[in-house]
Amino acid sequence: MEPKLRILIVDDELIVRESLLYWFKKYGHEIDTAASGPEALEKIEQKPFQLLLVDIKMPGMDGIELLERVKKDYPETLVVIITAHGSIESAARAMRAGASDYLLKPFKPEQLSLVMEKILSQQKIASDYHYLKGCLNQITQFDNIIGQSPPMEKLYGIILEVAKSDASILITGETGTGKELVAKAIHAKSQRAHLPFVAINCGALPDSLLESELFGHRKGAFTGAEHSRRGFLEVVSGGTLFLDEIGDISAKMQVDLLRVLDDKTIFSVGSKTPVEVDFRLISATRKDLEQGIQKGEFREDFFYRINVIRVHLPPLRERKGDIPLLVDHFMAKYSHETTKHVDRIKSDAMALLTSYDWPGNVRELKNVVERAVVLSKSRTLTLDDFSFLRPAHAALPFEPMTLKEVEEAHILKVLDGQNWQITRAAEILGINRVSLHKYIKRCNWQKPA
Amino acid sequence: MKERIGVVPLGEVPALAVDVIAANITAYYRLPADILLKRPIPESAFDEARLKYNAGLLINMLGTLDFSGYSRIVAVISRDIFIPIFNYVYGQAVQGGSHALVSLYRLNRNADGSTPSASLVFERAAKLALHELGHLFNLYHCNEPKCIMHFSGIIEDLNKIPFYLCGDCARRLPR
Repeated sequence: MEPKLRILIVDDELIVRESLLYWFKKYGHEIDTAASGPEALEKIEQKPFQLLLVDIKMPGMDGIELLERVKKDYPETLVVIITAHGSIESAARAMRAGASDYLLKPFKPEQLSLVMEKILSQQKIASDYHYLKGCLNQITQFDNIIGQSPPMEKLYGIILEVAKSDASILITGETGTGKELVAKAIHAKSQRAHLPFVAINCGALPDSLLESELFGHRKGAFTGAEHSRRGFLEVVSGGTLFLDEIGDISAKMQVDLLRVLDDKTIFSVGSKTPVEVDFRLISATRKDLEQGIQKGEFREDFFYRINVIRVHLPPLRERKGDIPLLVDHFMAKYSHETTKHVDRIKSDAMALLTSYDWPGNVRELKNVVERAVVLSKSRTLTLDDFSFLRPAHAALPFEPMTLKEVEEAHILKVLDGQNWQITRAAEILGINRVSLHKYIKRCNWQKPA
Repeated sequence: MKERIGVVPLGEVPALAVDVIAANITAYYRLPADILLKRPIPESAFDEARLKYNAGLLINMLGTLDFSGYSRIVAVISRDIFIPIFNYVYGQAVQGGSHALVSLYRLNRNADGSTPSASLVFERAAKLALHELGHLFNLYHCNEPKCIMHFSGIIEDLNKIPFYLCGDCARRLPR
């Protein structure tokens, strides 16, 4: 059966709109009509059309102007121009502006039929293109991690490399950068892929509950323990254990886990019988654990045990080139989930998203796009859909400072933020350690006591 | 209402053509088809610039007439008809509607200018009526060349298509 198209007929003459409407209905196509260019643009904004039949001569916005606007904002929409006899010149202009074909009216039924055959074959090429683009998207997605910027390409290489070994991995990165996704990807690429992947958020559980969750408990081990329960360390048997927010666990829990990692045996709460366990540990944290060690909050021996291989995830602001790809992905995801057809974003709205610093990283971007899709009343996301992002920028206080003063203030802020660890601060500032040392010396700064 | 088709001559139309159309409707759609009284062609449907009759206006006019007892009407005319976007049409029907129109004007000439036999002209008329009636039954144009609902842009196409519906369209036909 012939594929059906969504067609918009744009003509100021009611009789022409109706004639074409009835004609196309005989083919089962989904038809809508518009009496002017602005009305057509409004309708395209609301829902996508695959083909527009546009009369060249209309009051106000003429067919050529409408064609140019459509080709600029919706390049995949095919446009057939309808023009009166004798205006072959304007037909040629339309073809140069991107029209797929033109018809000189009045035309014979078989002429329209031939044009439609051509359109359907162009439509097939377009749908093949979208299929291939989908395949390409799969290539740019690495186990649900999206990005093709250099830092992400590097990350994919690291994931493949570390997945082969059985060493403990520590994933670091700011909140919302996708640490759990990376852990899952490593598990999926490892030899343990067919075995369980168990994720626990250590920060969300109080110490006593975390102990019970990890090690399990015997019936009657504590008040409320009415049944014996196997812990995740046992349940994971052979798979991968992902401990998120490892920086939040207590010193006692660090000791207990260190023992498990060394001995590969556990004792469930209230039991004296050792149980052998086998798992690969992947931990993640948003905290600076080295700093935690210096402050005495984190055990150095445990740190070295979990930090055999370090995988660092770049924050979104350092891979802004991936934002359009991520926005497209989240638009498609939430359009599908909400059964709305939101598939476009205005260039100024995208510019806002790429200029924003995303302190909450990909998670924040995901939530922002979801909110915009849910509330959007058209198929195109505009600047207004993201207006809630702008006050953050507007709220930045303005102080009359020289460029030099701004530079010094920023470097001091980063140094303080990193507790004057020169290596980390230099990394954030994007300069080398020697330059930072020289800068500090030149400014006669001293590390605060 | 039980399905019953009325075949109406508009103006002067060869009686044999109307007979053939009614007989084929009964044969291929298995529905009773009666030949109704001739109705005059409203001259208001004539377009002075094109020297043809506006098929849309004729169909609208059919809608104002009383055809009680008939669920669908197929009108037959000997004059040339058009719709505003096309130079001419062989027939016209409102998708899923009640009234269709068939013109015999362009059926008595072959593409090479020669004159076809009378039987071929009646065959073409019957196929057109079956096709337009298919639209009244909400059947769409069909991609299958061996189907009466296949679109015929030129007269040769009309010669090639069969009288019957393809399996797919037959299944879509309302019971």
